[in-house]
Amino acid sequence: MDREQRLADTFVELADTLIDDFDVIDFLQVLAVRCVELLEVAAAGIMLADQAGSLMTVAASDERARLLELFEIQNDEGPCRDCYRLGAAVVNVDLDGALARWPRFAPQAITEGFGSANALPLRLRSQVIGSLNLFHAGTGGLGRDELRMAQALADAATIGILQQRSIRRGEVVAGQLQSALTSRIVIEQAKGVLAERLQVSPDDAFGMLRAAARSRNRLLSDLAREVASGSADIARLLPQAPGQRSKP
Amino acid sequence: MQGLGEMVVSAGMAGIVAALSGDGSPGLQAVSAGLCAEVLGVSGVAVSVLVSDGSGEVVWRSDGASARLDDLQFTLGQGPGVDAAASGELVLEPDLRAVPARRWPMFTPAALELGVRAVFAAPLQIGVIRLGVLLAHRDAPGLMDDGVLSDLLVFAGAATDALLGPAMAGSQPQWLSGRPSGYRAEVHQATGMISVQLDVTQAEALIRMRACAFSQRRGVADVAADIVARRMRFDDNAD
Repeated sequence: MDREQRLADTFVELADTLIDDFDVIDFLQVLAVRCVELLEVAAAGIMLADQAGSLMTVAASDERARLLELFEIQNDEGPCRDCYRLGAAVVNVDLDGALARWPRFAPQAITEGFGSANALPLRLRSQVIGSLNLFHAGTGGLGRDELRMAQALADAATIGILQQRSIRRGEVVAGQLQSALTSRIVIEQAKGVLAERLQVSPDDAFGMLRAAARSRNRLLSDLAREVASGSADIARLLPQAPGQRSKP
Repeated sequence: MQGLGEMVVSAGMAGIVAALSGDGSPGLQAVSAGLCAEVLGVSGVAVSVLVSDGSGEVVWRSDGASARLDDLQFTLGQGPGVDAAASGELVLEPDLRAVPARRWPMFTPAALELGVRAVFAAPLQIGVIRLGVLLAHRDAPGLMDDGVLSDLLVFAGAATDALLGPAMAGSQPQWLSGRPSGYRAEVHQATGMISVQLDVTQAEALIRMRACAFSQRRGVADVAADIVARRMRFDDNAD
């Protein structure tokens, strides 16, 4: 299948999601995975800014701790921070040449095997609410057409954030952002609960949580909230989970 | 695209937040609720702490004729603060006269009687940990504009941090890593793990982790990293 066809399929898939009751974190995670497939990048992540201007990772193409850490460093420096601060795309930055610009971020990104980085703004009118981060394994990177595709995918992320179900009674952008950020924190808390209960890694816990939500047709955030607040029956939720222990 | 991307906090609110997050985390009492209300362009503000039965207790508020408004909600069990506490979402009602009677059948008339026309409530929370509610009210109807709402949410973040108690002493981590509402993913994961190890709520788990960091003079993020890497547990070496 050629790329245009795959791009069209992706937008159909995203649009289908948006008309139903959907989970914003799940939506953004699918979008990050599609970015990797369509743009042939090595990794993708989506960061949102809270009201105090801190950037927080809300979704990534995979949940490896070291990759998440690389996104998190960008609260201080890196392509996402620059993109957010400047309100403009940061494109095809060769990481070897960016050691002075990003003294913490660049070396770690190189250690993780990345050669160049991009950040596209999540735009809403004149405001930037976050950014889409794309990493290439080699140098070089996105061409003109690919950049347009990447920005379209970033715009789709913005639409998803604004369409989440809490949009009611004149709900405002700030509330939507806050709601997405809170959902992500709840998921992290739930990952911790599952990681300890089942003695697995947090990223495996994320996979299990997501699989459980899918197979039960539940929203990821709802299930995460039940797990984190202790109201979910984990033994029933994940009956095949290995290494179950009773509560200490 | 025009201008800078970052959202803007007013100078007035920046001053309030700076006072709240100053040395030794002085707590909400360090800032004037009246000044906060002024910056937000409302008639009054209050912070309630949620107690275990789901009701709230006002711990900080501005003076004024509508002080009763805040207690009223938790007494009646209805109102914007109660809804924000239950849902974890913002509640913005720019005109109480336009709110359907069945929404808050007792609260709405009582609030109108007190001269209140607009109510705004923001949950003070970190994931599933819901600590309290920020309430603001105005004696004139009208929406909060975007800038004011930004201020309200920034203050909600700072108030959340203040409710958790004193931040780290000793090692001087970056400003952000000491700010609970700005904690990184690992801290939330560690909170979840500790809640299982000690069989306690997430709120208590976070408080225990912060206390441990405090007593060891380490950053919370450091302790969290040890927990997530399973170099440290909370059940056998309880502090």
